Amino acid sequence: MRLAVLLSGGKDSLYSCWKAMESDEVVCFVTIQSHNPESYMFHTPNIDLTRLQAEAAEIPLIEWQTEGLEEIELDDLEAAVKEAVRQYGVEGVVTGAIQSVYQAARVQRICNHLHLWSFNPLWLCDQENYLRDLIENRFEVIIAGVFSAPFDDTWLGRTIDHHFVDQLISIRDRYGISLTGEGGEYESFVCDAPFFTRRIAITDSCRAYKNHNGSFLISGAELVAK
Amino acid sequence: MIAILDCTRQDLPLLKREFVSPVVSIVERSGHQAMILPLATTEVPVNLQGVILTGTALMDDHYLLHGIPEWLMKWTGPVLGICAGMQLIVIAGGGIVIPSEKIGMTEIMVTSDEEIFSGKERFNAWELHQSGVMPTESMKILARSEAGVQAVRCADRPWYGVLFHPEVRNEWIIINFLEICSQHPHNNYDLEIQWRHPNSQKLLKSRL
Repeated sequence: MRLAVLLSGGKDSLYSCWKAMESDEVVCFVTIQSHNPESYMFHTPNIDLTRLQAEAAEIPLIEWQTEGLEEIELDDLEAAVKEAVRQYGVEGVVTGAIQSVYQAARVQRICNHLHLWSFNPLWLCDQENYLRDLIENRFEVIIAGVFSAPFDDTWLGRTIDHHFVDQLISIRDRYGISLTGEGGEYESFVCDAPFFTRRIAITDSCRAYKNHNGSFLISGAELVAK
Repeated sequence: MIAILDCTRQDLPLLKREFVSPVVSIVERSGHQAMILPLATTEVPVNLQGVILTGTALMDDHYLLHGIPEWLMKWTGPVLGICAGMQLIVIAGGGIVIPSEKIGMTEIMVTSDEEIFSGKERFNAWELHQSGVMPTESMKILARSEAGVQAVRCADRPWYGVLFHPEVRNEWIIINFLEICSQHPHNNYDLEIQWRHPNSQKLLKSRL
């Protein structure tokens, strides 16, 4: 089946893409660029860099702008998916949803409206196993934003490795955070994935941090040989 | 051993991750062994304590082509049908599926107190379906939402069906079902029973 992957730049969308590629054909990515930093659905630091990820994966990218107003932004997502159907003959949409019924319901409704299949390869997965699997399959993932206690600026730019997972497990219950950050506790950015033909090297970056709220902003990046 | 009957389209393996694996993982975490079989299996599992029929994607209606396997009609032990699986149980009991689209969380009201709902009166559940059900009197209605029937039980055996997806935010329902399975003897096959509703398969096929 010809699939479009909704790409935020983070680990969940790219891992889901990798799983979809095992059985089906990923023919394009769709990225929604939200102008509203409070968007429930789409806002994430470094969203412009999905362009480099698409190039690294050699998969075409549809970039779509939204003002990011609640619920209206869904019309923008629907328009972007329609464009994927028009340009690439997409029959289904893949998301990185894990347990967010808010996001899953909205994408399911759009797919249903457009008569498209909706696939969520990470749905209700065991979160620790998933993170370990990412690491073991050499996804290179960094922390691009933190948005809750107890994360401070030392977490920004960190690589997701086994030590990171162990540390999250040790604080998860005390702070009520999800291991995968799907509750908005942290955001990630993928520099390399098993299906990338080149990896992303970050050449310039800065940290912006205040009161458990911070971003690792990538201002320079390029594709390099693996 | 709990048999998980996979109601997803077999040529779309991505669906297993979404509709089968989460159920298997709840079963295994509860200390049971799980055996996954495609809905269309002809293999008759032995040493069973219970059977769970999974749901599937909104676009997938292949389960209606298959119906439930013949060996399952001879099984009198516990069964839990989830969404697509519930629809198949209702059809096997002589009922019908009706158009009813719902995507998202819904309030469920328990109308008949049974062990599977452990005394809860109301809860919110995840729904993802294009069809609802209209069961016959051979089934007791256990729960409803504003839109219609949400949970049923066969009058003559511990077969349950839920239209919503209990693996999402309501694992306790699957755990209660597994507790019901533990209380039953193994291998509840009654080989004398034929299709209780001999026309149900024919009816099903004529509807497609």
